[in-house]
Amino acid sequence: MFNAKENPKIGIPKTLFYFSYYPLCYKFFTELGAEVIFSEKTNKQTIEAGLNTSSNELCIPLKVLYGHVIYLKDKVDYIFLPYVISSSKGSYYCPKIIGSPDIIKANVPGVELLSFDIDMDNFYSSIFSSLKEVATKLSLNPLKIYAAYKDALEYQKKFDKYIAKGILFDDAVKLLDAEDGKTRAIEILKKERIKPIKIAVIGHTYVINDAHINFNVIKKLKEKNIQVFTSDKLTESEIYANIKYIQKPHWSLGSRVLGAGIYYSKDKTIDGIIYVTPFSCSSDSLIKEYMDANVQDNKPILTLTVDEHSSDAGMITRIEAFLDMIEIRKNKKHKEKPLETVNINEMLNESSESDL
Amino acid sequence: MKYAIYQVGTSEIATNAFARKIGIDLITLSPPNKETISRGILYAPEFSCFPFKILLGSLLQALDQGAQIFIIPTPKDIGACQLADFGMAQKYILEKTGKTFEMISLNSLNPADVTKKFKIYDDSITLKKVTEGLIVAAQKLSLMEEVETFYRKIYLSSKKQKAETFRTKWMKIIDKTDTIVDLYMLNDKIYSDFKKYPQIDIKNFLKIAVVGDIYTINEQFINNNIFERLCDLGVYSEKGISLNAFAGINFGINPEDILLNNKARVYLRHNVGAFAQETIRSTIKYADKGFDGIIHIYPFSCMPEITVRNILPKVSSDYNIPILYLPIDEQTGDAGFTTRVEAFVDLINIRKSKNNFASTNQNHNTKIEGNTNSNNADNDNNNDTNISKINTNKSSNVE
Repeated sequence: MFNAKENPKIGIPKTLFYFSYYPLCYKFFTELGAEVIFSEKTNKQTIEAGLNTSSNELCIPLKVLYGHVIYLKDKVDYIFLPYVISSSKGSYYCPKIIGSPDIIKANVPGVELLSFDIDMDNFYSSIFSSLKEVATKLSLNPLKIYAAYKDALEYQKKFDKYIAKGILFDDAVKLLDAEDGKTRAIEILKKERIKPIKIAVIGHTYVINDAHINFNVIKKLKEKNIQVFTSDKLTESEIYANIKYIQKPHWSLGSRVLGAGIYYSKDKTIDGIIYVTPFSCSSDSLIKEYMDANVQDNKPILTLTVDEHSSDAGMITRIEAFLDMIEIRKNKKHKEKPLETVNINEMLNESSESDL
Repeated sequence: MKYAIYQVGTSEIATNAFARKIGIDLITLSPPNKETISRGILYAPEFSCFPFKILLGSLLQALDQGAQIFIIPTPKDIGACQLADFGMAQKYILEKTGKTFEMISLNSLNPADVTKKFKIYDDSITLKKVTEGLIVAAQKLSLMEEVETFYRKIYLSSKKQKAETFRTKWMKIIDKTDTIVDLYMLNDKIYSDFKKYPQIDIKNFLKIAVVGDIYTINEQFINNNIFERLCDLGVYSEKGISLNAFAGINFGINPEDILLNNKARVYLRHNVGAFAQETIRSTIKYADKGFDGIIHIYPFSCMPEITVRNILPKVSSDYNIPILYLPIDEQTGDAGFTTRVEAFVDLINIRKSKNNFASTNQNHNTKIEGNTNSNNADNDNNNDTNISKINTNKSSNVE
């Protein structure tokens, strides 16, 4: 199939959009006959390698990206890193993400990137240039590439269904690998149902799904017998239904977080929201203001700011304090109801006496 | 109804003209100062960019003065950034403190759109008025930019006082002139007045271009008056981006620009937001023009400029031009800032004299072969004279 190289090795860093488009990328490149190699999950070495090469002003997800690219650099022919510009009309990804291939190119010497535009804002003008770019780099027939893209899209839809059911990323990947794992899917869902406290973890997909960046928030919550929902679970239409009354934020990741925040605040079964945001993320800082103004029902929100200097113990303390608070709040709600009725009765009696 | 609008540097003259043309009552805000910053910081989120904090401070000031409608220019067609969310976020923040205001966010500076937005509040505003107002405002912005560049040249050629009188004189005239034709004529008048002053040969000076975020470059209180500092040090400086860019004025297509665009796209394929690509473009432009150094100035946590900041080192090494990175936020100290700029100027000074010296060295080598010792001695002398030349320039200016 390949003219230039028989089976080119394509590396996919396990960060940024890996967490939302893993099946799409994987299927796409395997369909084209390439060997897909993933980087390791984010770990200490990844972050260290990133810190040594990046400038200190970048946010932690970008620093981590450096680490992943450095890990893959010598192992593959191309590293797949697209220019992800926009996911829908009129909303854009953060500048650092759009420019991330350029940042990597400028700072990691000897890296061969396979990058093309993903721009839904002007889809039809970008799709052809993107196809052309892949075709020339891998020397393939553009029609074949389009066919592979179609297949990959089907595969992605399966994955999206799992995610929409509320299955977390790691489990969804496992299920996708098993393919015929219908029974296992039900098992996971059954396990989830029993838990008493429900907490929504919201944030950018590459922050809430990367256990090393967010200090394993989800695992920590699960260990405390808490059911966890993430902002990934919500479909695009659910998100936009919640934010259509307010002026839409400029950033699409921001609007996802905002929509999720409002969605979960309306949901009465959810007890609290944990908002994980990377240090010095200026888009998130404004989204937080949007959220504070629009969150309903006085839902408690814990904002966890993460970077490479945060400590595990600090995270645990904050999460535990938050959980304690939720527990107290929950107990109060149960107790308050009878107390209130007694008070009202007394007041009524008093008023009727004075009237007489 | 009282209106207010964000101010950047000298933009007040332009916005006032616009307000006069369309007949609205615009509040004059005092330029940002320490109080504005401290008030802004009080309410703004920690990681919001520095301009957000300052603009929030001046918004509070405007509300104190009785502003009811706040005009927020967020031209998305130019490639907006966080700015698109500024208005709404500030509204939410101030609602918490019990302050409310109406908001006109200008998504584009297309006269028809602008008229539509204003008509909601005032029926007497017509398309004709708005078009005229926008043209006059744009003209004033470019005239003021011209005066600023002449100011820096006069500062270098003669004394600071003279430059200051030149600037205040013309700024007043620009402020008073209100018709399109008169403003058009003003262009030549300013130039002929500038010609009366002793002229400088830019070749004799160190040349530094200041590139980066549009707000930080044009608001002299925030950038610690960097252009005057550079003049003090006897350096000829140019702005990478002026407020004209924001008004979206582009007269004709320059073939050089297309070439420059292609060069910039190698480093940053898309305009990731605000004027990110412009920063790279102007860096390359000034490197090609033979400038001695670039100062990249940007607010802390500014997303487009941080993207650029991570790419510029590559541009710097490819085009062989030194770059000083200056992130700015409310913690930036005056002295620390000056020290860094001074050190950078010293550095490129030495670099320039070394380069000159290398070129003379080559000439010597071709003429006289062998006898390297005497060569070195010559070069040392050369080096000294070079530095002293520039030093004399400096001292004359400081006085």
